[in-house]
Amino acid sequence: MKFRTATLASSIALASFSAAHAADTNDVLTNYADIALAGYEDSLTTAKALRVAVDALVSSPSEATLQDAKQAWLASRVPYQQTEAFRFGNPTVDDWEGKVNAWPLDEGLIDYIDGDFGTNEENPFATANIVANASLEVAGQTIDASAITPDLLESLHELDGIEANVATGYHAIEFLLWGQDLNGTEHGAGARPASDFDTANCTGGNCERRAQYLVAATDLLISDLEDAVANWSADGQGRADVTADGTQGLVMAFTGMGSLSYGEQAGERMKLGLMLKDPEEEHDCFSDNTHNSHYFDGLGVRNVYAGRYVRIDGSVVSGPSLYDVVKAKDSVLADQLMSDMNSTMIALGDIRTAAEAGTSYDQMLAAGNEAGEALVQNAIDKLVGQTRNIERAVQLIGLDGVSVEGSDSLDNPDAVFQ
Amino acid sequence: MINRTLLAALALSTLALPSWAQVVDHAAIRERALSTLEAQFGEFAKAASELSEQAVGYCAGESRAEAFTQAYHNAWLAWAPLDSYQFGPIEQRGAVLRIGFWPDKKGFVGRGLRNLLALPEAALSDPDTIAGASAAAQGLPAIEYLMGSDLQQCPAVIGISAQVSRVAEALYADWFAADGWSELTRQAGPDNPVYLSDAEVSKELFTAMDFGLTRIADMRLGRPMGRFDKPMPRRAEAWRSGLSFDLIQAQLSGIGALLEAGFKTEDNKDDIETLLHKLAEIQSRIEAFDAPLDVVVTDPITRFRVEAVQTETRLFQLALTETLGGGMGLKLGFSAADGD
Repeated sequence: MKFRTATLASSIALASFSAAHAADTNDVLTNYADIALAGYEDSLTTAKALRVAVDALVSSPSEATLQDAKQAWLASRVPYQQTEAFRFGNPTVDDWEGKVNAWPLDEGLIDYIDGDFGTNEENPFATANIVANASLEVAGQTIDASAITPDLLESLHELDGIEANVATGYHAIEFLLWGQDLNGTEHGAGARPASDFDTANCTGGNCERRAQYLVAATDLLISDLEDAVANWSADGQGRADVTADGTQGLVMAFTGMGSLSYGEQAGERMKLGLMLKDPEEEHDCFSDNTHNSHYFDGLGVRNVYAGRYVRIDGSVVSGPSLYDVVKAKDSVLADQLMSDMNSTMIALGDIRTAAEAGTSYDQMLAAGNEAGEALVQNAIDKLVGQTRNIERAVQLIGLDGVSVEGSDSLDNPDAVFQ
Repeated sequence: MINRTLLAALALSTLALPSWAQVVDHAAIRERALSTLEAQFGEFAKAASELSEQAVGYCAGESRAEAFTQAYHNAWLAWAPLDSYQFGPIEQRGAVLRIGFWPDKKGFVGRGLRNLLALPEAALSDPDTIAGASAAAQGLPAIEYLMGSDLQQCPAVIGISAQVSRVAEALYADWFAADGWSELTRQAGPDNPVYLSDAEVSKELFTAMDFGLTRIADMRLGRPMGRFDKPMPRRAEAWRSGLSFDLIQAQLSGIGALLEAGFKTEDNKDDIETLLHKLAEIQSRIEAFDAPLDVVVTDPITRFRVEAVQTETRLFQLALTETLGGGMGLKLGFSAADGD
């Protein structure tokens, strides 16, 4: 759904809606922003826990400390993936997102890879290996990478304008913790040994720089998430974007739900991998945690609609919701859309069930695995189906096709968080 | 980068709301649109069938590489208008990925082909083998890649071309067979699983045109443009065969055909004519380039002209939204362009 400009959204009054339900809309959008804030706060909390575990790993590398760090990373994905429903439709958030969750990546930019896996002939930096190289040649210039710092990683992110050069964020950290998954579409995730971080008995070479990279990337993730929390706090731009104008706020909320459901999750993240039959084309390809990433993306969409979010400590943020907004006009449609989302969660839950029982997501992508393909395709169909009723809800409450771009924002990305 | 708000302001200031009637005969729009789609899907099926025949002749040494090259170019140009229709049969068959896999952000075409060529040679001329491979190795970009590489072309191009032809025929049947998607659009109503009203069909077609324009402005032009100081010529679609601009032209023509045949009525014909005139201007601007897209984006002077085409395309998109949105009350739906 294309929402063209913020200016248009605020200048074209939608009298029938805003007059009758102005107060409700404010409450709905405040609750929406509160859920966003809670989600980013939880993401920050779990990233800080990850930092503690990473510290333990690099100061005392062992299979136990590595396992703890992996567990901390897995936990950190639970709240973060649920925030993705806040991305699309809100340019402030969408421009920021690439710093923390960029994917897919040419991991050979970061560290050693197996020769046959992960190379990309179209990316000259696909095997640049920052961990092993204290300087890099980029477009005739030498980049000093002797100290691996958050600033350096930020400067190397999307190096040379190539999107697969992901130097920062969750997936860079995931690769450093797990290493490449060399099992193809057989069972098994990446199996990096803890000794890759052990400067005394180093495997894989450059253990000190690898540890430096892991620490720097985690620190950067924390500072980026601090920006996100600020963005949704009382004076934050993200909150202001959705609460300043009721119509625009609802447009952003519905855009976030529809764009994540359809173009992003059903399309880029699920259908593409299914069609490429490529085990690397899964969202969490090193850790084999894709089933959870998809599940919590889907749940994030439902959270927004239902106006309810279960925090990492078990407490619940809930309040007036988009469901209530739709229900006031058409209770059948409101319930149908809720039922769609529940069906989506069951379908995503099926994938998760099989994965937790030992058939991981990359196995489902294997050529000839009809049962796995059917599970993934069913979830895609449910996501596409719910998008149709999201569109109908948008039409029903009279939101016009007029606001910000859904994704790939065109407007000044540098203005974010300044 | 041009700011969207500015664009919208420009568009608003130059466009009055259409004066034509609000009563819209959506069933009539659908019938006219369906004939356009039937012609476009038919063209693609025909070109793909010829491609399949040419591949056999080429590998048998009966025809020259030029004839086969021309055949895959023709098939690609016939496919280009269909790229806008990413719903229904195209979505269900994953045809956009199978036929025209792009953008290729991680070298999937090359990798998919290498995996494919590792299979027994005898199996490669069989479209079933191809259908079971990576989507990136199944379509026209895969043929283009093979023809420009030193990888073994035959018999893989036979299998790939046959697979393209098979998908093309299946898409035509999915749409226009007795119980096809066209029939589903004709039976729009409360019990229809997809279209609850005739207006929802119009909305789908309107969204498809808008989506096609987004694909052109943001992706087909935007990706190779990169940043001003960092153009990305290798991101141009079909740069190996020099078809980048031709594919854009073909897609624009397809959008124009659907707009004119489907949406022009006695009441709104002046507004639609204005839109078609704008579209023709964009096409003339593209026609005026004397080098392929991947070349012109690397020269600051000509890159500027590419940016102008991109801006014009976005303005056209806004004008289309204002015209169909204002006059017909149509709203845009979500599309596959809404992801990253």
